Amino acid sequence: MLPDKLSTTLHSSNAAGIDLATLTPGFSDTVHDSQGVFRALLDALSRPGKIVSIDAVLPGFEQDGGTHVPMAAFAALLALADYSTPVLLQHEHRGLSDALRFHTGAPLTLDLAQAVFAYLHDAASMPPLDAFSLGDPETPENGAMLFIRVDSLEHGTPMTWRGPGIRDKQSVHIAGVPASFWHERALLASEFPCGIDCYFVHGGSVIGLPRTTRVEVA
Amino acid sequence: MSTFAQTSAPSGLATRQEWLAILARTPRARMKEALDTALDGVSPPEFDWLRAPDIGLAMVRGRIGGTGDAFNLGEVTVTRATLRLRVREGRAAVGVAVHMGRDKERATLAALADALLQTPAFEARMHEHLLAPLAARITESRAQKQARAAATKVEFFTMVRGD
Amino acid sequence: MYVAVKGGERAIERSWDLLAVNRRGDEAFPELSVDQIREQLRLAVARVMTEGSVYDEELAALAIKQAAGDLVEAIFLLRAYRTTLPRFGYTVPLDTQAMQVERRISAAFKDIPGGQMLGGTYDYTQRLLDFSLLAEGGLRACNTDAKLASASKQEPKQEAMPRVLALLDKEGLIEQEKMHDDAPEPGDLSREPLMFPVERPVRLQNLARADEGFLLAVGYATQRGYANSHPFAGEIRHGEVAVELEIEELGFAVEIGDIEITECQMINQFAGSSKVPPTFTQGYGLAFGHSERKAMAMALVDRALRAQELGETVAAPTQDPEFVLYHSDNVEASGFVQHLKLPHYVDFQSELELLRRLRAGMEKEAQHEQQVPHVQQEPSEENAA
Repeated sequence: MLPDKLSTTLHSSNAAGIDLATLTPGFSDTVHDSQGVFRALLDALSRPGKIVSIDAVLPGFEQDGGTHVPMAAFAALLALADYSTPVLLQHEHRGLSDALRFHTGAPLTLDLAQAVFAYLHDAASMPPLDAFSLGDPETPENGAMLFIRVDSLEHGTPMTWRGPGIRDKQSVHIAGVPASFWHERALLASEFPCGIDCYFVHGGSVIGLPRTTRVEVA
Repeated sequence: MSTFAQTSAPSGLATRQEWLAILARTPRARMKEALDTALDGVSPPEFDWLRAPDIGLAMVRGRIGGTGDAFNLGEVTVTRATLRLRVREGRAAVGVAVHMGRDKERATLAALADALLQTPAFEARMHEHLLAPLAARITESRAQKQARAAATKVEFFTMVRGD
Repeated sequence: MYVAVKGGERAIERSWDLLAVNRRGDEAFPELSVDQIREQLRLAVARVMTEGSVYDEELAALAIKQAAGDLVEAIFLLRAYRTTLPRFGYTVPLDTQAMQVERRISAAFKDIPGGQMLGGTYDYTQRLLDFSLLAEGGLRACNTDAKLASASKQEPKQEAMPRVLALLDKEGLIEQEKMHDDAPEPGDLSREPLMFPVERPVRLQNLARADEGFLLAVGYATQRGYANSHPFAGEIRHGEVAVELEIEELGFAVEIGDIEITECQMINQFAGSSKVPPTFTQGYGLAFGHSERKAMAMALVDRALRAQELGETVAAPTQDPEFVLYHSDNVEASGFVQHLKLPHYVDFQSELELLRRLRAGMEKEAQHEQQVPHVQQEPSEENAA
């Protein structure tokens, strides 16, 4: 056999093998479940501020298996990620990274600029937003998509959201997101069409925040 | 991996990489037959799917000039499956199947065979009654093809100008 | 501009019915099975897999049956079907050196290690229609097999078959294609559109999926002087190669089966430059199944398209990547040519109106000139459109 360099699927920040003995199962019906999750995510991003629940069947998913990774985040990444979308995990989550690598083939990365998707478990200490890929004028869709775990989608910092997908205005309350996030995000508005899109995740639900929404923090 | 009848392992038993190559080349009916023979009436352990049989594509790559940098040639259909045996004690073997084509049942059988080959209780019988005959079948089929092709080899001869 | 035309659903459904009847043909004869097509029309299956860009003999055979033998239509079906399947990843690049060779020839060298192996080929047949094939010849097949079997018993084991082009390398007379450690991932036309300038890996992918007829014509043109290649068939091989896929959960690559492929290396002249002494240059062709004409034409066109990178004058359309690569895909070409069947009623109506207006305008002018004669007549204008 001719010598060859490693293929991209093995360029992983987690160089260790996947632990198949403890692997979290994925969708039981990959085709229909991922379509259902995609629909829900699309709905959330189209109607910013609306709380959308993800009714994916994920047998054996233990949110309290020590990691507290919300089911909605796991389901979203299962549905969206594939071998061509590097995923960044803010903290090392062996169970999550193994499951993502196995079920989606997604490469994991620690390079903020390379990440297509990022799961941010700890909003208070998340990286600066402009460190992520914002896309470029010809391909603004290449901007990163962030999944941010929050403490609540119903109580917390009161905000008013306006923009595409919102009739007039939407009142939104999210707990656990630092003020710096809103500040940094507002600065990115001038980069439009480049930018990042976000989902706030809690348990099995999400709120979508596309780059086009104007946020006013009360 | 041109000879399937011999292994590179010092133990004399096929390595996992080698037996997966054998299983990938075994048609469904043969696999079923060989598995039945190897199990000899014993029920295999039950299992859970980590990845239920799944059909997709892999992009085949060639090399420029046969020796240079890679380029994408075209896709090939692939079926893959991963299961985990349910065992009461010890480490549960994980069986993996990946092969060309679109045959979920074949992937199930191959993944099961792979798992059993890693399970002490079944290992010996699997090597002797499943792998060995399957390997022999592939080797024989290749030898036959090779022989037929060799029959078309040109034997140049020079005319000797006699006196 | 396409007009939304209502009605015709019933006609379309009846058209489907008629299509099915035509495809089936006379029911007095047995229906073709997909297995028969796969086994006995292997070369059609090879073409459909290569240009459909999916190696799956059964799917290709099914497409051929469904398309009643129209291979471009079958290729379309296969391309459409692949969009429904997820992509698991990329294989390890094929090692054609390790091929289980059925056929291997070189026109450049007579005596080569491993010899000239003809394999099964139409090359030495006399192109006389074989009327014995009109009757099913089961017995005949038996005899042929027996002949091969007895001949093969006398043959020694197959010798090693190193690449012919490597033999030339000893004198440094032919450029060798080498792997570069820093080579970027090759572009993938199945995911991104063709963008210029095109690198060689993407050109080769385009040519691999290209219409065989088009490639053949362009290749032929290069031989007739459109590009100056003076090619020799360095090596052509056909046989089976193992396909390997890296499995992340295992941490190593596994062989997932074998594919039948045809590979061609063409040797071409290169004049050399002030910096580089004259050397032979390569053209490369690779296709699924037994597809020699395709692989050879691909190699000729590959070489022609290298004109710019080799510092040659780009003089012929065969050397112009925009001309060759944009028109090579028969699904695209067929789509655009056949789209002319879509209603263009409004378009045409406006053309008709324009033509009538122009004509009317001309007649008016002609009448006007008759009433006011000039000393010198202006030459009459032809239809401005």
